[in-house]
Amino acid sequence: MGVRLNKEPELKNPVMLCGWAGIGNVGLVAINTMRRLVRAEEFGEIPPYEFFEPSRVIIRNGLIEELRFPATKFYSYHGADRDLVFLAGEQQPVEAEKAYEMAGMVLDVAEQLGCRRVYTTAASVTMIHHTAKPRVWAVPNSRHLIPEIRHYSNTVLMSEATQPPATGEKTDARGGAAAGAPSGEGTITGLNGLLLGVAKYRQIEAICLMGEVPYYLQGAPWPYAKASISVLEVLGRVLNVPLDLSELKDMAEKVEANIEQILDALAADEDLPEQVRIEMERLKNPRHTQAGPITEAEKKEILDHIDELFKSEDRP
Amino acid sequence: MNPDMFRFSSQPQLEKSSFMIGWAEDAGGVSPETVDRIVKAVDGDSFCRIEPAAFFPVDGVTVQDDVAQFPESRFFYSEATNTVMFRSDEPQTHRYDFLNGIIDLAQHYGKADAMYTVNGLASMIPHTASRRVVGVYSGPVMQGKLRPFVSAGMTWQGTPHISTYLLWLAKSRGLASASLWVEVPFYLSSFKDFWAIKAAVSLLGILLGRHWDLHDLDELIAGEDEMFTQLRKDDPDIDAKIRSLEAGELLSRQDQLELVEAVQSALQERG
Repeated sequence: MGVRLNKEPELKNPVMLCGWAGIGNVGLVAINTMRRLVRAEEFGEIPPYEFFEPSRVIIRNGLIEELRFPATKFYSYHGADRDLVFLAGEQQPVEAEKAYEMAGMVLDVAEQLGCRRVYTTAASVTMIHHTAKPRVWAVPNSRHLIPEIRHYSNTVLMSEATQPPATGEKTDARGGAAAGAPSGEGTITGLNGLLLGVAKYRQIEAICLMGEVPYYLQGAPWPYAKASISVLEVLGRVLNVPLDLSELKDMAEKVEANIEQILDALAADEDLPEQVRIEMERLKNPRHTQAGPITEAEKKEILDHIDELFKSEDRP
Repeated sequence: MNPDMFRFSSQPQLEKSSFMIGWAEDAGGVSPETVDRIVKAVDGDSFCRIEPAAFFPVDGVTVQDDVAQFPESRFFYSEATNTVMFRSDEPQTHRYDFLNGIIDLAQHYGKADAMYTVNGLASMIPHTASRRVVGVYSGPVMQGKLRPFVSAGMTWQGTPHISTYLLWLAKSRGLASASLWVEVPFYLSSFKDFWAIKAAVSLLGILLGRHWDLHDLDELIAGEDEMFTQLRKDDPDIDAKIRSLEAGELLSRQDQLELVEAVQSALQERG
């Protein structure tokens, strides 16, 4: 079952922007926000049946009315300088071969519409504090794109990402959606990474933009809007599309208030191990945080405690 | 129809057959027991199976009760009732292809005019209550056909069961279908609920125009009733919980757990 296009939009100089659900929903929120703000028009979808299980059924008075699947939809926008194609995926395929198949289908559309470049959007899990402004990690699929990326504001390459930035927060070189190292080595899991690779294979320029998400929030049930804002600020400037991000900023403020509540609840937990308590105190005072060592065991303990809190409370 | 998906051992001539679908795991054992009993009652012959490699992990076997298990998806046919019964483990991967394959076989090979799935529905009812059958239908025609035999139409939103997924696919491909859900007391959902099985077998008998001999099921029900009578006599707390259910009251989570544990112990003791 191939891509279903309701129509084939006539586009000039188009660029494709992709976002799938993932950690903090950074990419999906960014893409959905941008395509809503510019009023992009839906023009096609990748039928979900081969990729996803149904997520919800609606049965009324004995009659089956609807079976819902996670959607993967294409939208188009006619801009002043160039046109944009958006791809928003509510879920990523679980099986690697299916993810590869989907990446191929997305790039088929990109090629069909003449897209010269693809941006994917995602999260990078780092030791940033939630009160700090997330940076954007950028990974291109071709070396010749690096000089251009160096001109993007608030953006770092993987090789730069491990150096503690001026605000004093730490970056995590060990894990997450992307792992940086001084040599610029790491991995990008999921479709955002895969799409870069498949695009490279097809000789299409692609750049993955990843907004930083604090490692202790990677399992949080709400979107980390702050990272999406950072990604959109970069995209807006690069593509010369003015974006009013006030709604997303409101959401980010609400999320931050929730995080503060969670951290207060965690601090009030009498069973909290002392070492974890000390680390939580450090997190509460990010400007005094040194890029000092935190062991994997400490990190795991903090994550376990936070995950328990997420599971026990019904939050947005 | 993907011919690689099926392995035929014979090719009976089918015309306007009814398809009955049962899954190996189900609340109260309703789905597998019902299909097994109907296959036996109509002297059904296995004529086709689905090749498992595309739908199940085949890198080893699971062992249950000291015996190696392997996923099975098998079609049976009864010429006398013009019925095809399908009994299968639930596929672990490519469920869309698997379910479409069943519909392919029903439409292209069986020229089916109806498909039924039967399942148990864990409910907050006591074992002494009659087992209602709740229906979900592909359309109003099927609903009208089954209305005299089914207690109510289901209203529900949530993650779909595989039978509901099949029903939706059948509906989208124009095959009249119904999903029949027999209530099972929640404390019997991990065991065989013979009352619910009897209700399901009886209903499918009506749909096939057959009258089954259900004597052995009656005996099993009598044995289960005896066990419950003894349990209630021995444990006044459990008796009180069942009485609450009989009065239409809801049990707390803790009471539900205690009831499940007590019934589990009693059934295991009885073997």
